Amino acid sequence: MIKKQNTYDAIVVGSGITGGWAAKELCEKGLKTLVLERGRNVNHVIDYQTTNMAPWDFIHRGRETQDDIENQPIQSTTYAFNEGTKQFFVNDKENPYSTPKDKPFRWIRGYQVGGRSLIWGRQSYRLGVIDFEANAREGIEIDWPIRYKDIAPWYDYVESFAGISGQAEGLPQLPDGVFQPPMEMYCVEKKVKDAIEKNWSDRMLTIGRTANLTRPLHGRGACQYRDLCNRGCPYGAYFSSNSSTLPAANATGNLTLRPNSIAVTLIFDEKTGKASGIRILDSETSETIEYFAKVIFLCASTLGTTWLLLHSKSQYFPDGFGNSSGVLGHYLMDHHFQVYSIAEFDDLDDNYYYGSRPNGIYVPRFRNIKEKHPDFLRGYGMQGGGYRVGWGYGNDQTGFGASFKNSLMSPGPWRMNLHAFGECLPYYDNKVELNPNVTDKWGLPTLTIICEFKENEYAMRKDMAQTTYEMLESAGGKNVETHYGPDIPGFGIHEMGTARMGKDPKTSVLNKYNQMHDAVNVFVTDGSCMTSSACQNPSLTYMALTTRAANYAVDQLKKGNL
Amino acid sequence: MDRREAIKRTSRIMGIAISSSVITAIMEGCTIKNDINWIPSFLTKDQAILVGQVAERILPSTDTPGALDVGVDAFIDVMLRDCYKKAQQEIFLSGVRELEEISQASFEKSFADCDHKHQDTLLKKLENDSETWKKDGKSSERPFFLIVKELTLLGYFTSEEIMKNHLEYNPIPGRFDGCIPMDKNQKLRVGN
Repeated sequence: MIKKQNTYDAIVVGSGITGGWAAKELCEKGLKTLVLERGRNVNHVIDYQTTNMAPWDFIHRGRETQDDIENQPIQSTTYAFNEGTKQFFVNDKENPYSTPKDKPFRWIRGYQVGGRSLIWGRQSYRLGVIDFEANAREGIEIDWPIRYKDIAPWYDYVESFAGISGQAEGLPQLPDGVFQPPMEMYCVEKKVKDAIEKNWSDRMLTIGRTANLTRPLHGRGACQYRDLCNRGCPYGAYFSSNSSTLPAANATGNLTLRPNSIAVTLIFDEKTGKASGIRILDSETSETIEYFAKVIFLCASTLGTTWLLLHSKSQYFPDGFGNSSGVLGHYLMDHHFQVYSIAEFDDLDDNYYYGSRPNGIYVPRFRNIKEKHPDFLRGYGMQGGGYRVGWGYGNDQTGFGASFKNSLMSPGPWRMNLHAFGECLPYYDNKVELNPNVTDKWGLPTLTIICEFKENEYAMRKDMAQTTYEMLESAGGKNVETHYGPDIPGFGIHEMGTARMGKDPKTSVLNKYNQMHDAVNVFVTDGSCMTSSACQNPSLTYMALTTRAANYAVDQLKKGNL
Repeated sequence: MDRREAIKRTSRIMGIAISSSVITAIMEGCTIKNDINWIPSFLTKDQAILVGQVAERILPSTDTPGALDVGVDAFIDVMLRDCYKKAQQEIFLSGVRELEEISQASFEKSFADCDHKHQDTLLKKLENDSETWKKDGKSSERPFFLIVKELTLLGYFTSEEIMKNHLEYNPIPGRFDGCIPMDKNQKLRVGN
């Protein structure tokens, strides 16, 4: 009886960017779907408690306290963390992980309904033809089992529903999508764009492609240019599971959302060779409950899903669920960045802007497109943008007193920065392992993360420093400063690759439909499926892969193949 | 806007009706140097008075409000208590102590009792020292002067009075124009 009550057509683990999409697709195709989310519920709008707060409403005017840093020592280092957003980042003390002393990794997480889709950067780029061919062409690790043409219609599909604003440019390495009208550039960005395109035939600059609506869509409002996205948007103007996919799933009547549900193990049925369900721990009551379904989607984030698979050991799967290949947990990648240049522009003081744009600019990859670079494989894109500094720049200025005060009440000088984000190659020894010696708040084993950037990334970083500098300088930027620091993996918050797709079950975990080689009714569609990292922000690709896999799964289910 | 007008506006925002005699009393209150009308939770009363005087010299009252008019001293006290590591708190407190010492050594007066000219002379010295710290690669903890300056700017420019009445505050712009001509007297545009 209980088993019957706890049986659904489909179970989705995770409610972030990919879990939301899986839920929407499966529910809309008529499957009774249970979404398990380990964190608390976050209702759209109702639970965005800080969204309309003014700076003076915050005791610390936005700054994190020592208590915050004590509880969230890793989370508080990321750019989006502040007094208005800290509720959407995990407590690091309750959710520990380990790294070797000489290989730090910053794991940024949001355990709640909506996951990190509430706090993501929203930059949305397609991978191109060359990205899916790169491994095969260069003999690096294994080939992707799909090509751009396989995923292109699914990019169209997710862009149409999510709402991506951007400018079509006709570049093969950064394919155009279904775009809402682009946001405008600042004067300084137009100036830098003109200079770049005049000086280099293979480089260009475009407005960021972002999951912020510039026109209303599907009952969601257009952006009001407050630039406070990470507090949750009361207009639903940026794409999140909470604003977009979960309401769509819920509207079908087929969705059951269960927050506070930590998926602990996949249950394997040796008779059928499939997963029969999932065992969860209720994070509030510590009760263990089993749920059953015909098809299971793992969308718990790259390392969350990998942890669940590694933790689901059985006689049949002694090294982790679906890990007959032995590659589960290996090939962890993240984009490397923290190489950037900033310039001042002193000839634009008569220009200003109105509104706060939650978006920057993008310089598409230009390395290793036509000519081979002598020092490294693959390439990088650049994000960044212009800004007219406000009173905060008074901290960099010498001076105090009446005229100092008055000067800070007017707009300051224009600046522009370019941050490069580079592709990371897949390496077997960049990996995660289960660590039984360190347990979390619920007594569960945790992850040890061992990851570092290597020669190809370091060679690329030298070039990133050079090109960000020369492009700003070519536009007449003054006092160009280049930051070329070390980078810590994880900080890109684009961790991926630990349950990769491939053609051969001996060297990959998933097939070309994100379906497990070892258990055909289990699909993994978060970042762990990635065979290579490309250099573009990956979430849009995860969305497209999820919808493609979900529609395939429903089709297979109907045919009786799952 | 003069300070009388500023107080009126602030009281309107707070929903309090204030008579002109009360305003006079508040304004006189603001000019009494050696007292505060709030209870510090991190600093001692004497330290709070000195820090308030420093903040007021960084952003003094002119035809627009000064740091003390918008309660920057009490804000600094809370920030020091909640947002700074022990080592940074200690640097701050020894900075306060040293400022008092050089004030006594230079002018035989407490910093809070010095006139503005002398206060500025002392702060200029601290600022010069902080320039050296910047040039030396910022290797040690941030010096007292830069902490107090940073907190003064933050407390002042994010206060309701300054944002609403002295900058161009718009919490919901509703549209975005990226590249438009600017008026000479344009105030800084700010939102939430």
